[in-house]
Amino acid sequence: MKGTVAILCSAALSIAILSGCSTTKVSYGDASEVETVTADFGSTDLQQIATSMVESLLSFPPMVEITSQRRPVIFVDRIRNKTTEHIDTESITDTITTRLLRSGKFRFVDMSKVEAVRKQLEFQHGSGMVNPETAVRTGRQIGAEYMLYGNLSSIVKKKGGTKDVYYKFTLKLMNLENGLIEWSDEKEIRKTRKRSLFGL
Amino acid sequence: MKHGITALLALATLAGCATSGIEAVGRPNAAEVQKRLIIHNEPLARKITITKMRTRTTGGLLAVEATLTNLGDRDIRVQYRFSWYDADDFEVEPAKHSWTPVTLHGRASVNIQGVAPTPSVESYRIHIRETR
Repeated sequence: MKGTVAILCSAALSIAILSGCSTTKVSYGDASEVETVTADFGSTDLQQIATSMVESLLSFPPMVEITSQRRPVIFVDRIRNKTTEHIDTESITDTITTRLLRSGKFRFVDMSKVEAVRKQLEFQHGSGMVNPETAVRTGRQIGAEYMLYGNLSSIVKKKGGTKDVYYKFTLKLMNLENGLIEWSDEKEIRKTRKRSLFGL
Repeated sequence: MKHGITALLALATLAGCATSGIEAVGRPNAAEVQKRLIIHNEPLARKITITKMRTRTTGGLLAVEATLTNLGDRDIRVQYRFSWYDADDFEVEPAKHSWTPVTLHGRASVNIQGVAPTPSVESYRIHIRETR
Protein backbone atom coordinates (compact mmCIF):
# COMPACT_ATOMS: atom_id res chain seq x y z
CA MET A 1 0.00 0.00 0.00
CA LYS A 2 2.82 2.30 1.03
CA GLY A 3 4.62 1.49 -2.21
CA THR A 4 1.56 2.36 -4.30
CA VAL A 5 1.15 5.70 -2.53
CA ALA A 6 4.83 6.49 -3.09
CA ILE A 7 4.54 5.69 -6.81
CA LEU A 8 1.37 7.81 -7.16
CA CYS A 9 3.01 10.69 -5.29
CA SER A 10 6.14 10.60 -7.44
CA ALA A 11 4.00 10.39 -10.62
CA ALA A 12 1.98 13.44 -9.52
CA LEU A 13 5.18 15.28 -8.69
CA SER A 14 6.69 14.45 -12.08
CA ILE A 15 3.57 15.71 -13.88
CA ALA A 16 3.63 18.92 -11.83
CA ILE A 17 7.31 19.49 -12.58
CA LEU A 18 6.90 18.74 -16.28
CA SER A 19 3.87 20.99 -16.71
CA GLY A 20 5.72 23.70 -14.85
CA CYS A 21 8.57 23.42 -17.33
CA SER A 22 6.35 23.70 -20.42
CA THR A 23 6.69 27.04 -22.15
CA THR A 24 4.85 28.78 -24.97
CA LYS A 25 7.11 30.17 -27.64
CA VAL A 26 6.03 32.72 -30.20
CA SER A 27 8.18 33.40 -33.23
CA TYR A 28 7.82 35.20 -36.54
CA GLY A 29 7.87 33.05 -39.65
CA ASP A 30 8.44 33.70 -43.33
CA ALA A 31 5.13 34.59 -45.04
CA SER A 32 6.49 33.30 -48.36
CA GLU A 33 7.12 29.77 -47.06
CA VAL A 34 5.14 26.82 -48.39
CA GLU A 35 2.47 26.04 -45.81
CA THR A 36 1.30 22.42 -45.44
CA VAL A 37 -0.23 22.34 -41.97
CA THR A 38 -3.47 20.84 -43.33
CA ALA A 39 -4.89 20.05 -46.77
CA ASP A 40 -7.38 22.94 -46.44
CA PHE A 41 -7.06 26.13 -48.48
CA GLY A 42 -4.02 28.02 -47.22
CA SER A 43 -1.65 30.89 -47.80
CA THR A 44 0.43 29.02 -50.40
CA ASP A 45 -2.71 28.32 -52.44
CA LEU A 46 -3.70 32.00 -52.30
CA GLN A 47 -0.23 33.13 -53.35
CA GLN A 48 0.00 30.56 -56.16
CA ILE A 49 -3.41 31.54 -57.53
CA ALA A 50 -2.67 35.27 -57.38
CA THR A 51 0.75 34.88 -59.04
CA SER A 52 -0.60 32.66 -61.79
CA MET A 53 -3.56 34.93 -62.59
CA VAL A 54 -1.57 38.17 -62.54
CA GLU A 55 1.21 36.80 -64.74
CA SER A 56 -1.31 35.33 -67.18
CA LEU A 57 -3.26 38.58 -67.49
CA LEU A 58 -0.13 40.72 -67.85
CA SER A 59 1.30 38.53 -70.62
CA PHE A 60 -1.90 37.74 -72.60
CA PRO A 61 -1.19 39.24 -76.07
CA PRO A 62 -4.50 41.14 -76.58
CA MET A 63 -4.19 42.65 -73.09
CA VAL A 64 -0.54 43.53 -73.73
CA GLU A 65 -1.69 45.45 -76.81
CA ILE A 66 -4.44 47.28 -74.89
CA THR A 67 -2.24 48.14 -71.91
CA SER A 68 0.53 49.44 -74.16
CA GLN A 69 -1.79 52.29 -75.21
CA ARG A 70 -3.63 53.06 -71.96
CA ARG A 71 -4.28 51.83 -68.42
CA PRO A 72 -7.73 50.21 -68.55
CA VAL A 73 -10.06 50.66 -65.58
CA ILE A 74 -11.32 47.47 -63.96
CA PHE A 75 -14.12 46.80 -61.51
CA VAL A 76 -13.67 43.69 -59.35
CA ASP A 77 -16.77 41.64 -58.73
CA ARG A 78 -16.69 38.88 -56.14
CA ILE A 79 -15.21 35.41 -56.53
CA ARG A 80 -17.88 32.80 -55.90
CA ASN A 81 -16.73 30.27 -53.36
CA LYS A 82 -18.22 26.97 -54.53
CA THR A 83 -16.12 24.85 -52.19
CA THR A 84 -17.36 23.43 -48.89
CA GLU A 85 -14.75 25.43 -46.97
CA HIS A 86 -15.03 28.92 -45.61
CA ILE A 87 -12.56 30.85 -47.77
CA ASP A 88 -12.07 34.59 -47.80
CA THR A 89 -12.15 35.05 -51.57
CA GLU A 90 -11.90 38.84 -51.18
CA SER A 91 -8.38 38.25 -49.92
CA ILE A 92 -7.53 36.53 -53.23
CA THR A 93 -8.96 39.39 -55.30
CA ASP A 94 -7.23 41.93 -53.04
CA THR A 95 -3.84 40.35 -53.80
CA ILE A 96 -4.59 40.13 -57.52
CA THR A 97 -5.83 43.75 -57.60
CA THR A 98 -2.79 45.04 -55.71
CA ARG A 99 -0.32 43.27 -57.98
CA LEU A 100 -2.08 44.39 -61.17
CA LEU A 101 -2.23 47.96 -59.91
CA ARG A 102 1.43 47.97 -58.91
CA SER A 103 2.44 46.66 -62.34
CA GLY A 104 1.36 50.05 -63.68
CA LYS A 105 -0.76 48.41 -66.38
CA PHE A 106 -4.27 48.66 -64.91
CA ARG A 107 -6.37 50.94 -62.73
CA PHE A 108 -9.30 49.97 -60.52
CA VAL A 109 -12.51 51.37 -59.12
CA ASP A 110 -13.62 50.16 -55.69
CA MET A 111 -17.36 49.58 -55.60
CA SER A 112 -17.28 48.67 -51.90
CA LYS A 113 -16.49 52.30 -51.08
CA VAL A 114 -19.20 54.00 -53.18
CA GLU A 115 -21.37 54.79 -50.14
CA ALA A 116 -18.45 56.24 -48.17
CA VAL A 117 -17.47 58.39 -51.17
CA ARG A 118 -21.07 59.59 -51.58
CA LYS A 119 -21.21 60.63 -47.91
CA GLN A 120 -17.91 62.50 -48.19
CA LEU A 121 -19.04 64.32 -51.34
CA GLU A 122 -22.37 65.24 -49.71
CA PHE A 123 -20.43 66.57 -46.74
CA GLN A 124 -18.14 68.63 -48.99
CA HIS A 125 -20.97 70.10 -51.03
CA GLY A 126 -23.99 70.19 -48.69
CA SER A 127 -22.76 70.70 -45.15
CA GLY A 128 -21.64 74.30 -45.56
CA MET A 129 -18.50 73.43 -43.60
CA VAL A 130 -16.13 73.00 -46.56
CA ASN A 131 -14.68 75.87 -48.58
CA PRO A 132 -16.38 75.40 -52.01
CA GLU A 133 -13.12 76.26 -53.74
CA THR A 134 -11.46 73.20 -52.19
CA ALA A 135 -14.41 70.81 -52.61
CA VAL A 136 -13.80 68.13 -55.23
CA ARG A 137 -15.97 68.33 -58.32
CA THR A 138 -18.65 65.68 -58.72
CA GLY A 139 -19.71 63.74 -61.78
CA ARG A 140 -16.15 63.23 -62.96
CA GLN A 141 -15.45 59.68 -61.79
CA ILE A 142 -14.23 57.29 -64.43
CA GLY A 143 -16.42 54.37 -65.45
CA ALA A 144 -14.91 50.89 -65.47
CA GLU A 145 -14.30 49.29 -68.85
CA TYR A 146 -13.84 45.76 -67.58
CA MET A 147 -15.21 43.51 -64.85
CA LEU A 148 -13.06 40.88 -63.14
CA TYR A 149 -14.95 37.93 -61.66
CA GLY A 150 -14.57 34.22 -61.11
CA ASN A 151 -15.18 30.99 -59.23
CA LEU A 152 -13.32 28.80 -56.81
CA SER A 153 -14.44 25.19 -56.76
CA SER A 154 -13.09 22.02 -55.23
CA ILE A 155 -13.38 18.26 -55.39
CA VAL A 156 -12.59 16.49 -52.12
CA LYS A 157 -12.13 12.74 -51.80
CA LYS A 158 -11.36 10.78 -48.66
CA LYS A 159 -10.48 7.16 -48.15
CA GLY A 160 -8.99 5.77 -44.97
CA GLY A 161 -6.24 8.08 -43.87
CA THR A 162 -5.92 9.75 -47.27
CA LYS A 163 -7.59 13.01 -48.24
CA ASP A 164 -7.23 14.40 -51.75
CA VAL A 165 -8.29 17.98 -52.47
CA TYR A 166 -8.43 19.47 -55.95
CA TYR A 167 -9.00 23.22 -56.25
CA LYS A 168 -9.85 25.00 -59.47
CA PHE A 169 -9.79 28.77 -59.59
CA THR A 170 -11.24 30.45 -62.68
CA LEU A 171 -10.94 34.16 -63.36
CA LYS A 172 -12.54 36.07 -66.24
CA LEU A 173 -12.30 39.61 -67.56
CA MET A 174 -15.44 40.91 -69.25
CA ASN A 175 -15.65 43.93 -71.50
CA LEU A 176 -18.61 45.84 -69.97
CA GLU A 177 -19.45 47.61 -73.21
CA ASN A 178 -20.01 44.56 -75.38
CA GLY A 179 -20.15 41.70 -72.86
CA LEU A 180 -17.22 39.84 -74.42
CA ILE A 181 -14.89 37.82 -72.23
CA GLU A 182 -11.54 39.36 -73.15
CA TRP A 183 -9.41 37.06 -71.01
CA SER A 184 -9.86 34.01 -68.84
CA ASP A 185 -7.54 31.59 -67.10
CA GLU A 186 -7.61 28.74 -64.62
CA LYS A 187 -5.30 27.59 -61.88
CA GLU A 188 -5.47 24.04 -60.61
CA ILE A 189 -4.02 22.90 -57.29
CA ARG A 190 -3.92 19.35 -55.95
CA LYS A 191 -3.15 18.60 -52.33
CA THR A 192 -2.99 15.19 -50.69
CA ARG A 193 -2.89 14.47 -47.00
CA LYS A 194 -1.82 11.00 -45.90
CA ARG A 195 -2.08 10.05 -42.28
CA SER A 196 0.77 7.80 -41.19
CA LEU A 197 0.32 4.66 -39.10
CA PHE A 198 0.92 6.30 -35.74
CA GLY A 199 -0.76 9.56 -36.61
CA LEU A 200 2.59 11.39 -36.63
CA MET B 1 18.83 3.75 -26.46
CA LYS B 2 19.48 7.38 -25.48
CA HIS B 3 21.80 7.84 -28.43
CA GLY B 4 19.21 6.23 -30.68
CA ILE B 5 16.53 8.77 -29.64
CA THR B 6 18.95 11.69 -30.04
CA ALA B 7 19.85 10.48 -33.53
CA LEU B 8 16.16 10.07 -34.40
CA LEU B 9 15.39 13.59 -33.16
CA ALA B 10 18.27 15.04 -35.15
CA LEU B 11 17.04 13.20 -38.25
CA ALA B 12 13.49 14.45 -37.73
CA THR B 13 14.74 18.01 -37.27
CA LEU B 14 16.80 17.81 -40.44
CA ALA B 15 13.94 16.24 -42.38
CA GLY B 16 11.63 19.08 -41.34
CA CYS B 17 13.90 21.73 -42.77
CA ALA B 18 14.05 23.05 -46.29
CA THR B 19 17.76 23.50 -46.89
CA SER B 20 19.66 25.93 -49.07
CA GLY B 21 19.58 25.20 -52.75
CA ILE B 22 20.53 26.51 -56.18
CA GLU B 23 20.23 30.03 -57.58
CA ALA B 24 19.98 30.88 -61.25
CA VAL B 25 20.88 34.49 -62.00
CA GLY B 26 20.19 36.34 -65.22
CA ARG B 27 20.61 39.85 -66.57
CA PRO B 28 19.28 39.60 -70.13
CA ASN B 29 19.41 43.28 -71.09
CA ALA B 30 23.03 43.88 -70.09
CA ALA B 31 25.61 44.64 -72.79
CA GLU B 32 26.83 41.09 -72.32
CA VAL B 33 23.95 38.77 -71.46
CA GLN B 34 24.69 37.23 -68.09
CA LYS B 35 23.48 33.82 -66.95
CA ARG B 36 24.98 31.82 -64.15
CA LEU B 37 24.18 29.18 -61.58
CA ILE B 38 25.17 29.50 -57.95
CA ILE B 39 25.18 26.19 -56.14
CA HIS B 40 24.77 26.31 -52.38
CA ASN B 41 23.73 22.68 -52.06
CA GLU B 42 25.93 20.13 -53.86
CA PRO B 43 23.73 17.07 -53.12
CA LEU B 44 20.73 18.87 -54.67
CA ALA B 45 22.79 19.93 -57.69
CA ARG B 46 23.58 16.26 -58.30
CA LYS B 47 19.83 15.47 -58.35
CA ILE B 48 18.46 18.35 -60.44
CA THR B 49 19.74 20.85 -62.91
CA ILE B 50 18.57 23.88 -64.85
CA THR B 51 18.97 23.00 -68.51
CA LYS B 52 17.61 26.17 -70.14
CA MET B 53 16.93 29.78 -69.16
CA ARG B 54 15.02 31.92 -71.62
CA THR B 55 13.76 35.48 -71.41
CA ARG B 56 11.58 37.80 -73.44
CA THR B 57 9.90 41.11 -72.89
CA THR B 58 6.10 41.14 -73.02
CA GLY B 59 4.41 44.52 -72.78
CA GLY B 60 7.52 45.99 -71.15
CA LEU B 61 7.65 43.23 -68.53
CA LEU B 62 10.52 40.75 -68.41
CA ALA B 63 9.29 37.15 -68.68
CA VAL B 64 11.55 34.26 -67.70
CA GLU B 65 11.25 30.55 -68.33
CA ALA B 66 13.64 27.98 -66.90
CA THR B 67 13.69 24.23 -67.43
CA LEU B 68 14.29 22.13 -64.32
CA THR B 69 15.40 18.57 -65.00
CA ASN B 70 15.44 15.69 -62.57
CA LEU B 71 18.69 13.76 -63.14
CA GLY B 72 17.55 10.76 -61.11
CA ASP B 73 14.90 8.07 -61.50
CA ARG B 74 12.94 8.91 -58.37
CA ASP B 75 10.44 11.75 -58.02
CA ILE B 76 11.81 14.78 -56.26
CA ARG B 77 9.84 17.65 -54.71
CA VAL B 78 11.38 21.08 -54.93
CA GLN B 79 10.27 24.66 -54.32
CA TYR B 80 11.18 27.69 -56.41
CA ARG B 81 10.85 31.42 -56.02
CA PHE B 82 11.66 34.33 -58.32
CA SER B 83 13.16 37.57 -57.12
CA TRP B 84 13.46 40.63 -59.36
CA TYR B 85 15.97 43.52 -59.44
CA ASP B 86 16.04 46.92 -61.10
CA ALA B 87 18.93 48.59 -62.97
CA ASP B 88 20.55 49.59 -59.66
CA ASP B 89 20.27 46.03 -58.32
CA PHE B 90 17.58 47.02 -55.82
CA GLU B 91 15.04 44.26 -55.29
CA VAL B 92 11.67 45.09 -56.84
CA GLU B 93 8.62 44.29 -54.68
CA PRO B 94 10.77 42.51 -52.08
CA ALA B 95 9.33 39.75 -49.90
CA LYS B 96 6.21 39.50 -52.05
CA HIS B 97 7.20 36.45 -54.06
CA SER B 98 6.33 33.21 -52.39
CA TRP B 99 7.85 29.75 -52.72
CA THR B 100 6.01 27.51 -55.15
CA PRO B 101 6.13 23.73 -54.75
CA VAL B 102 6.70 21.56 -57.84
CA THR B 103 7.18 17.83 -58.30
CA LEU B 104 9.82 16.63 -60.74
CA HIS B 105 9.15 13.09 -61.87
CA GLY B 106 12.07 10.76 -62.55
CA ARG B 107 14.20 11.89 -65.53
CA ALA B 108 11.51 14.45 -66.40
CA SER B 109 11.72 18.19 -67.01
CA VAL B 110 9.38 20.94 -65.89
CA ASN B 111 9.28 24.49 -67.21
CA ILE B 112 8.79 27.16 -64.59
CA GLN B 113 7.77 30.66 -65.63
CA GLY B 114 7.80 34.04 -63.99
CA VAL B 115 6.78 37.51 -65.13
CA ALA B 116 8.39 40.58 -63.61
CA PRO B 117 6.02 42.57 -61.40
CA THR B 118 6.94 45.95 -62.92
CA PRO B 119 8.65 47.26 -66.10
CA SER B 120 11.63 48.49 -64.04
CA VAL B 121 13.02 44.95 -63.69
CA GLU B 122 16.39 44.37 -65.35
CA SER B 123 17.60 41.15 -63.76
CA TYR B 124 16.23 38.15 -61.91
CA ARG B 125 17.15 35.30 -59.64
CA ILE B 126 15.45 31.92 -59.43
CA HIS B 127 15.91 30.25 -56.06
CA ILE B 128 15.43 26.49 -55.99
CA ARG B 129 15.52 24.26 -52.94
CA GLU B 130 14.49 20.76 -52.08
CA THR B 131 11.37 20.08 -50.00
CA ARG B 132 12.26 17.66 -47.24
